[in-house]
Amino acid sequence: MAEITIRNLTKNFGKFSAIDELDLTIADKEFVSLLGPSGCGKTTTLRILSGLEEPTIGEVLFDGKVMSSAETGEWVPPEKRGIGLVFQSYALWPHMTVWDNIDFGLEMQNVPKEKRKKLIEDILVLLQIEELSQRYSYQLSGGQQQRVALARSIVLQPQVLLLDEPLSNLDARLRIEMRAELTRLHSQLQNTTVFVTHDQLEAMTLSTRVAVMKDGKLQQYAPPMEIYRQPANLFVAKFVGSPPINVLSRTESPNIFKDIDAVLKGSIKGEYDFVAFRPEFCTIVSKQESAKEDIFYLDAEVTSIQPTGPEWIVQLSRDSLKFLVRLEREPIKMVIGDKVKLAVERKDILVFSKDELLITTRKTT
Amino acid sequence: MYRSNYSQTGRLALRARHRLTRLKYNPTPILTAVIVILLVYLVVGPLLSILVEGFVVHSRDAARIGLAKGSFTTHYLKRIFVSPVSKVFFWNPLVRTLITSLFIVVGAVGLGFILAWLLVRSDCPGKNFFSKVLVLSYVAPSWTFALAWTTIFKNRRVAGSLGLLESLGFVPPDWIAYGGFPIVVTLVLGYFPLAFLLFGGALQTVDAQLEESAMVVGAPKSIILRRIVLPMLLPALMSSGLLILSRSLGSFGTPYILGSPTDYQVLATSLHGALNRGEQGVAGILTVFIVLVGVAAVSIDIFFVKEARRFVTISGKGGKKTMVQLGKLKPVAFIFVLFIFLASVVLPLMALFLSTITHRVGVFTKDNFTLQYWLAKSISSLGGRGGVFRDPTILKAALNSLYVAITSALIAGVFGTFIGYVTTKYQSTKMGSFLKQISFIPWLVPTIGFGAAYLSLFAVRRGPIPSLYGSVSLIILAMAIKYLPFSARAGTSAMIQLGPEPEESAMISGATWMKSFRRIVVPVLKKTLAVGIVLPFVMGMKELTLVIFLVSPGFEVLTTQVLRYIDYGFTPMANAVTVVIILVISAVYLVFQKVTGTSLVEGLSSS
Repeated sequence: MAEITIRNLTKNFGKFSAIDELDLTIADKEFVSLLGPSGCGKTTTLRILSGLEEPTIGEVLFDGKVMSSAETGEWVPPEKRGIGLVFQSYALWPHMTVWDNIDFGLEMQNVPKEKRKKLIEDILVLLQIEELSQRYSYQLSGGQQQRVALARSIVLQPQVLLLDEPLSNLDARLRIEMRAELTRLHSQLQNTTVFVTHDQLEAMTLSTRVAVMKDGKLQQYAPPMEIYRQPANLFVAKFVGSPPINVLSRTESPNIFKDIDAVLKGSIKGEYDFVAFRPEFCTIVSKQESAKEDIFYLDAEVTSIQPTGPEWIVQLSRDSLKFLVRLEREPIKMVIGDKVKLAVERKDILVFSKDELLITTRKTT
Repeated sequence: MYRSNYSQTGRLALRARHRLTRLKYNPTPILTAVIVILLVYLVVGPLLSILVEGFVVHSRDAARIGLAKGSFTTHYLKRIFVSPVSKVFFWNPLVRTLITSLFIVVGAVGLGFILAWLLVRSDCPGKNFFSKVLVLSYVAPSWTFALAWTTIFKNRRVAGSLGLLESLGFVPPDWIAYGGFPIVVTLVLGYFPLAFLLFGGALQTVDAQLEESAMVVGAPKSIILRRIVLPMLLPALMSSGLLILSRSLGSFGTPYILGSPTDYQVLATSLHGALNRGEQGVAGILTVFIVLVGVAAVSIDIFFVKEARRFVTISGKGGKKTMVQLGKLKPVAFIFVLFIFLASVVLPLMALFLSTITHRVGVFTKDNFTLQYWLAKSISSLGGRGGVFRDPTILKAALNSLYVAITSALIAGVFGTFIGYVTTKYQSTKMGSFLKQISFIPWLVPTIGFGAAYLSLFAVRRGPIPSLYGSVSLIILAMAIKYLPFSARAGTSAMIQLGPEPEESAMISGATWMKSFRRIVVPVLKKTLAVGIVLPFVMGMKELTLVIFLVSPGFEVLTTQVLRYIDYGFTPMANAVTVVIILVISAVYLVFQKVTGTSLVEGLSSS
């Protein structure tokens, strides 16, 4: 089990910068997600951690020992790092059975034969794939292949476990099942785990901390709920949360901002150009309802009403802007086309500067 | 940014040391360097060598030209293009090459298209059977048809046994027996399977839904054919046309057999003549010319295929095909297809075989049959030589053929697989495309030019590399490199399919590069390797054009032996040896298909 230190990590492919000055420390036994859209550098970071790629600038250390260093050119090869890596495509060896796939690593590490048998049997039980041991990869379903890929990497008891979007090839139900599985495994085995994903729900539910990345740069590194409630910038606010957060910009909607300024008056230090509020903090009131203090109202028209089972998602629009509201109980009587008012409490409004950074110093009155 | 602990030189030294460490864990760069050196010398080297030969004074011409041996000269260039003999050496053969190639391309592509359409898109009876057997002719050497033609249509211009028509009392005129007409007909029959396969493939992938969408908006069948189907077939049309053009440019055996009696020269035979006369300078220029035209043709084709990528349907399912109902034309279509089958597969083989067991072909009386050409110890009409199974020359040639074909196949297969492996590692980089292109060149170059180029490079000692003139190694080497593109491409696509991750997984699990290569890469590539070996073997067994310059009196192979028999006028013997070659290849083909379940035919004619 190991602490991972990433220092000043930069990776360039020609002129293109895949990772830009990344500094990150992952504590022992943590489960950290690297979250971001495609091309944000998360997979490249993972590959540098594994040793399959090398940094252009910066270094990577496990428990204080240098694994890769751009300055000295030092590089510990993947097979000597004590890591487990699960690829997005699983990369099971097609000409070997499940048993042989798991056995291969043990053989490479010169583990004695009797011990190997026991280890493999245990891992098969742990991942609930005992009946599959003699099958070939093409005879397995996606979920089964993924368990085998996991088994193959865990059986070597790695100090660091690296997972590259392991759930993205699974259907929705299986994904939920495997998420629980990963959590169970992590609590039992306690490896330091780095998990790459573009699915914010996965990152939120699995991690002790989430590192949000965009265009190679770290946007925020914090526990999930902090990311959700106190997003460091507008990108993080928009990326995390489903349905996505509602955003208003001063330059696009100067008239609406007059109302916002009135509600937020005096409580914000400095200038701000963006506000955002989560759908679950919104309510819908009829046009006639009287204005209460410290509540921001927005006139809008109902454009869709979607019952999802446990709740309703209502879409409102104003000019060319669209807003989503999440309601737990039956909304006020309305049909598509009705003119209503969206209502949000001042304390639930997130405020961002011109540079899209969260303004945290607020007077809460 | 943080402070460094090392001095400038300290850092450089550390980096150098660590760089070497990487090679220990992953020797791919070393492997690549070796491959690059080999490829440059063995692929580009010969071509450069023969290019130089065309512009450098050779010792026998030094006095005549008035320049020292080895100095630069345009003498040969002038000799080819503007001298009094240029008509004989170059212009007439060029015109004849162009005319025959034009007719061959039009004929083969047209025939291929008609057959493909009939057998894929209409309800012609016997579709499945004909689809399989029509490509069989491609398994035989390309000059099989020429031999069969001679057997049937020869006249007294060529001494020796009587032709079929002659035995029946008809003497074919020269223009039917030899020259442009039979060359065109035989090569059309020989090459149409290529067009047939390409069009067949294209017709099958043209998504039925594309046509159905047009039907739904009201387009009549004729418009659909003209505006939807035909344009989508354009790439197959261009592809097959240009490939057949390149093949016919480099083809030697057929024009030699059918052209020599009436001195009908094409560029390939002119080149052969030049080298036989020892005119290396002239041969050099001719080769360069042939190579340039051939490479240009294939490059245009590749360009068009790239363009045509946009025609590839993105959707997943192929969809059911709507068959064209032939109705009253059904019997006509059937007879047509049957006729082509008979003419391209049955008749040639029968003619060949019959001529080997009869005194006079076509006469079916009991006393006319003989097994002498196969079993006799000594045949008087052949100057005392023995039959195929008794003549030690043939046995020796057969062993030589096998030896050469197997060895070059193994080299091509293994080398090609390694090239495929390395190319994939450098996939989207300059090194990757360099490797791809250079390993593809042998395929682009017309075979006759390739053979001449190899002779040129290895005829004399160059630095540490000895002369291979007249040796078996030269033949093996030339063949191995000529067929390299097949194995390299097979290796590349197999590696791309596998992906880098199985190897990376193995390394993460603790395997060294060597262990990972042996236990993960090689087992997965086994099937590809097999094809990469068997395919060159089959091609090597029937190769004539490449080896014609490289064999020596002491070392003949079956195919060149056939040519010797033609030169002596011993047609039945030539045919018998050809039959043997065809049988050996067919046996290998069938066994391979049984054992691995893959068809070699697609590979043989693949572009």
